[in-house]
Amino acid sequence: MSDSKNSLQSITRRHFFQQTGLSIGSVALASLLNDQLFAQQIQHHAPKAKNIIYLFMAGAPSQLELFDYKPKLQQFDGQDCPAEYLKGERFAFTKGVPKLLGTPFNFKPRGQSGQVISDLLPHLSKHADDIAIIRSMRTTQFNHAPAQIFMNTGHQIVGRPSMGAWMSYGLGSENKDLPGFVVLISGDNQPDGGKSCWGSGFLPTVHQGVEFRSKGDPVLFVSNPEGVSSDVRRQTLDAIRDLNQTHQQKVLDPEINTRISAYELAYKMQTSVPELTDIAIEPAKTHEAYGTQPGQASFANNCLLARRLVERGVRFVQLYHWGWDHHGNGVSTDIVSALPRATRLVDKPISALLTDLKERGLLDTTLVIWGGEFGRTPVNEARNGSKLLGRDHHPRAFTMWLAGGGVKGGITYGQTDELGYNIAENPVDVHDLHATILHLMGIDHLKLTYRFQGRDFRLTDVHGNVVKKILA
Amino acid sequence: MRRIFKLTLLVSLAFTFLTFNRTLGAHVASFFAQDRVDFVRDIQPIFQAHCAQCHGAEKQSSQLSVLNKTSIARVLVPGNSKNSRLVHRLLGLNGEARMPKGGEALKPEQIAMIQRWIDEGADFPVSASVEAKSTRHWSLVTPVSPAIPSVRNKSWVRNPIDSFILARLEKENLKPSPEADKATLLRRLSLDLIGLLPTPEELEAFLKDNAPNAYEKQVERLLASPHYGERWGRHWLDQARYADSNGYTIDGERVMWPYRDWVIQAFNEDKPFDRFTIEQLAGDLLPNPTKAQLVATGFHRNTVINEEGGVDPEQARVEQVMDRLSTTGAVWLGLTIGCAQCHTHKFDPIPHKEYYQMLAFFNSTMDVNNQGPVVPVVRGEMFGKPETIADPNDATMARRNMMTGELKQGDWERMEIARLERNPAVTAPNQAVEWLPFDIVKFDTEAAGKLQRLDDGSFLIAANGSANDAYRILVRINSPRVAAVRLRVLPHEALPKNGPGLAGDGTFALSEFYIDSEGGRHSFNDAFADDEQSSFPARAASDGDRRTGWAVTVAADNPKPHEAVFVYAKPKEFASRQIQFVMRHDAETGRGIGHFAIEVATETPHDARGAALLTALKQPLNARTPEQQTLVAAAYASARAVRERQAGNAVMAMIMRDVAVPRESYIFRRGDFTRPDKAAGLLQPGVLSAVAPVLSEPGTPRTRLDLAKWLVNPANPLTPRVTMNRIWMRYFGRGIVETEEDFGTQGARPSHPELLDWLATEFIRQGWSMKAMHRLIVNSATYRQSSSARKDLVDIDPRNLLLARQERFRVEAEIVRDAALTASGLLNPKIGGPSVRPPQPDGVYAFTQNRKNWTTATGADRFRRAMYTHFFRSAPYPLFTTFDTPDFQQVCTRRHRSNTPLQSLTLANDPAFLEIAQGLAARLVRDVPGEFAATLDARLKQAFTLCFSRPPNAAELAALHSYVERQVQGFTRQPVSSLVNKDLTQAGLTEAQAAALTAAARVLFNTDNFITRE
Repeated sequence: MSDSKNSLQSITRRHFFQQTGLSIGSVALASLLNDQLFAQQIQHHAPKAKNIIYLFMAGAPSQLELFDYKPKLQQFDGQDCPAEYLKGERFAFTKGVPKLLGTPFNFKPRGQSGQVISDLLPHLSKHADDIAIIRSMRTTQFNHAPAQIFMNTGHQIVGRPSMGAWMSYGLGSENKDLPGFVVLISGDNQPDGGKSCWGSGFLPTVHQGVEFRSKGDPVLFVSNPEGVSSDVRRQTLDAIRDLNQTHQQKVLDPEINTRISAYELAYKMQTSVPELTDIAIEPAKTHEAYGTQPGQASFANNCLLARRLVERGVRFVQLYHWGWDHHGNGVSTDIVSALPRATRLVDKPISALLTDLKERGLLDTTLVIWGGEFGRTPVNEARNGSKLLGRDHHPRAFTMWLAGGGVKGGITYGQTDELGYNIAENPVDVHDLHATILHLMGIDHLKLTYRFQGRDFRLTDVHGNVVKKILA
Repeated sequence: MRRIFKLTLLVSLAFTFLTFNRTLGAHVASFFAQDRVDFVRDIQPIFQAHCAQCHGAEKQSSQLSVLNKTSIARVLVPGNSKNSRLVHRLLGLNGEARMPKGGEALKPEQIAMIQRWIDEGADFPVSASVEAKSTRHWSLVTPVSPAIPSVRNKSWVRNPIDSFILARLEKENLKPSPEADKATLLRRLSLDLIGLLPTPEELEAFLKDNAPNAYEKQVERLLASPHYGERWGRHWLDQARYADSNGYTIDGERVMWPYRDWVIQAFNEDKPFDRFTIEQLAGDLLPNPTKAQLVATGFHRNTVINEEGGVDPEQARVEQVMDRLSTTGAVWLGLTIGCAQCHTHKFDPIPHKEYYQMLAFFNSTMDVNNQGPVVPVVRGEMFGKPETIADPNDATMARRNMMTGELKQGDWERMEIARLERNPAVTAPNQAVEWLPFDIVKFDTEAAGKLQRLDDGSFLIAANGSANDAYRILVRINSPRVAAVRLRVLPHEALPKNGPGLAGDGTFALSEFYIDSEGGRHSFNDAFADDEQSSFPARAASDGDRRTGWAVTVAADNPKPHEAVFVYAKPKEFASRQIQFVMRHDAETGRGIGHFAIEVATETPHDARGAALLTALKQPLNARTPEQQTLVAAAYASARAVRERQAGNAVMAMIMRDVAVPRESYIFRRGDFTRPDKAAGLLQPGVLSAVAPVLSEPGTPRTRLDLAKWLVNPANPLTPRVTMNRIWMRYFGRGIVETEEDFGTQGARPSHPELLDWLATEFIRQGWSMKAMHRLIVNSATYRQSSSARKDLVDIDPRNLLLARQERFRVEAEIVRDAALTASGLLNPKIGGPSVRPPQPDGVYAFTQNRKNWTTATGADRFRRAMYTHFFRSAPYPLFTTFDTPDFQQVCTRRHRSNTPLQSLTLANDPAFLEIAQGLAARLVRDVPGEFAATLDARLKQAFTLCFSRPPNAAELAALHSYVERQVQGFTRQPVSSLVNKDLTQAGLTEAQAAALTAAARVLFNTDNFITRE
């Protein structure tokens, strides 16, 4: 490479840096100034995981029906909740003195490790030895939107960067043809927190999650206008490049070269994205395992897509599946009838995803995270005298699990009290979870910072401890 | 060995402000252990490394500098280290926090060294004493107009700005860049001042104008353009965090566009920045505020609102109040005030307590989360041209029924007969029904009002709730059947003028009354009352229109109870027996019902007055008795009065008002609103003591008006600097202080401090006129320079901090669209009004919790400027997100400027841009008529003029020409209808030619040049 080109590139980098905002930290500098913009990552220590698949169960699934079995709760089912629990308590919807509610479902020890998991998750139960169950998660928020935003950004008020944006900012992408942070949505709604859940906050927008859509273009505007062939597209791109280059020679702005590169990457995405999202080419046995149906919008399809994305080096894939808000105030939110329908939609695909990652040797370097934004109460909500079973929002204790990438499988961490109301042992705060996830990715959560409005911000704000006991 | 250390010490002393190497310090200490302690050699390095950050030349916390001989003498007793405060603090004795505060303790040997130094007499050579540089951070010193520097190249200077810039350049032996060519200048000026591309006619006129002031004339033309208010108003709206929705999950639409209109108008009339500030922060507190001044206060109603169930209204209110303070801090002061929410600011002089004193200014506003004061505004009103006739193209307005325009008596009588015939109370048997009580399950209000139940089962609400609170009463009824509900409004001695309303004159205005049950709203079909004001009949509280409602006449000081009866057309069956009554008060500010009772009936009661009216109406005009005529006339007058309230296109604009009695304000421990620090005492509103001027002692309680006046007091050192710095940033891509949001000690130092101070003082001198400042900057030689890169600057000033050239940068998302609309000639230049919905791809709301109303505009609204595109915070228009428009959840003082593949995909493939590209192609054919091949070069040249305000060079023309020819061939073989606009084929082009010309337009829109201001 000639000297002049080298120096031009160095100007490009500097220029890119300056255009993206000066307050950028040294971490981003490392990634942005890299020749290929997307290839380099910072490391504070050797990472255990390279990629993350985060299965976000929006609406908050009930830990008491799935992972946190409480014999005492069964024993006292239907009795008044003891007053000491209710003192000063505020619920979203529950009124008066509620009754304790034992789960209508059975639990069994599973696998060699004997982890206790509900009958509602027969497929996941086969992976009991792969997952680390945290029964002592807690949050500070008890409404969906702030709790989801807190779980994703470390702060309950909108405006901070999401976890995936921090990853993209700190680690970049491994794939030059795809974004570093991809979001896939299924279920009844978008998560209550909206796009803020995968927003870039005050980080440059290049780090925000790119939503792969299930209808229309998988990535907005990735398709050529109707009838425009890829030949025409190439010729058009060449014409744009020619005009850009001619102008560059006149004004000598290296930013124009960056734009030329962006157009080339866009062109590559026009091929790579449809290829990636075309799950029809997967073998029949894969479809059978996941329960996927090409062309449909489903959580199962998204699980398979997640594997394909991770395979191609996308750093952070986040699946949002809304459909867990089982208050029991109507048949669609009844624990007895609606919850099993909800678990059936996700149980098999998640199990297939774990198996698939394992068989491809990807599970060792892929961290899989499962969980909602808070838990559900050990009491029956009985809103407006409803006879159906349901549980209200419960920030004090809930369950999440992690698997793969540096996590010790087959263990349970933390305990709730006898009624599953409060945490009895080893509480894990949202910031602790974030610190742990960053740690597994090779990042010290204290050092990944970005200066905004005069302050160095972190994903973990001023908190966070790595949960060392779940590390392999 | 000893010499080497001495040398090292000399070097480190030479750089007095460099941090001393701690290890080296320790080595030195042990090395010289046997010698007498030398201040310069042994002590000063320790102080430099550990103490000087807070107690040094730059900053003197507690007025102490350990580097100054006189200052440090206050904290030590020479010869007696044991009694020296300095040592006590280093050891953390006497219960005082150990120094260095928040840092690691000094090593024992370092403290021992300091003790020895004191015990040996604390010898401090005068030559080593460092004077305090300034007791204040530069930005906190009120600016004084500096002397204009003299320069060698005097002929280059057009105004004082150039002297400051050139003086600095000459110091570095740099020459400024030549003036940009005229075409580039006009494109730059148009984009900067109005955000639109120049038309070919404007360009031609300018190129032909050889007058010496040709450029200045363009500046004046553009500053006078109404689009100037749009361009600069949009920058301001970023800081106001403007959006058309509430945010969070529900993200309901809100009416905020009247505030946007106000901003545009304020810029266009060049409202001085001090007035501009005062009206937005405290317009409602001005004497006899005009409606425009009230609408201006919408600035701080732009906060996000959480409408989710179970939200704590007080928590939501406090969050919004805090947002208002941090926004105010960022916008006017350039300070990160929010940092002091939990603790005293680590770096800037913002004590924890002063944060809450400043917060107290905003703590007494009426609004509580989603309830707040409003004022009716019609379209055009902020521009002084109210449009009283509704826009027939507006579907919402049309749907809001035929209830607009003049109400003719004949039409009204027909509608009224139909209404009365549908009203079961009119036809119900004239017999008494039984009014039944029920069990109360729960009751509360949406905002802060404290509802209480009295012994007789009625409800009383103390005054001073929110201005437009809604009451909710959840009850369990004994029978599932409900035919009617009676609402009795009752006098009470606790209410103004004995009630029954909360207004000062005892009145109320109930805008809506309905039942929520079993997950749905059950509105009544009609209502009647024993008393009602002509313009506030009871039925208007059941009509679903929040602008109208029910009110009674209140006799002075002797109010009587009244009642309204709300009926269902067919009795309802509520199987759950749980129903919630909702009473809304949106029509008027501060007119809630104060004392009331509710009962239900399973049978429909009789409406005698309605029945009489129906009988009268059915009589022919000439057969009506005098009583009947009076009855009809009164009813008709009432209907017209209601119609007037609904008048056409009036909307309710969100404004700010204060409650009558200020709320109590306390420090919140660790920023937690549930932990007010009452021990620390009640706080009075106050400003930052570190920022001049001092507020006078309050005679009356301090209000937002005092705060606003303090912000724009000429002695305030920050407001003019921060404001001028941001204006400068829009013209040069970067502020003189690069961290435009942080003028504190952690922010960047100004690149041209004297220039900034000159601009700040000039701003005040010219009466805070923003147009005067724009004129000054864009007329400068500095601004007019070419932006082309210069090889000689690459190493010396790679980031162009010294401005030896102009800066090239990509335009904002909105301007990307506006530029394309101008080039194609499709732009609808209408200014202001409600937001519009241009085409956007399907599925943007596929997953939003509440489906958004996005009926794509078909008429002229399809091509409005991007700033009028309806902005949903939860799902912004995709173009915006892709081109770095923030989601306006919080203040944005500076946008990022990224360069990504998603931008490329948008410009290339977004159908909205394709439509505009077709428009450009059609325009080319209109502008240059003729045969395709013969006119191709002329059309392409015209396209360059439209897009880049310049002709193509030979290489560019050749490249584009051959591209088009190739596409014509390709499209002939393989037609592509998506690129074909029928205007083109109707003008005689073949489909392939039409598609090829559109493709060429698309190429131009996708060049870097097009979306860049050079």
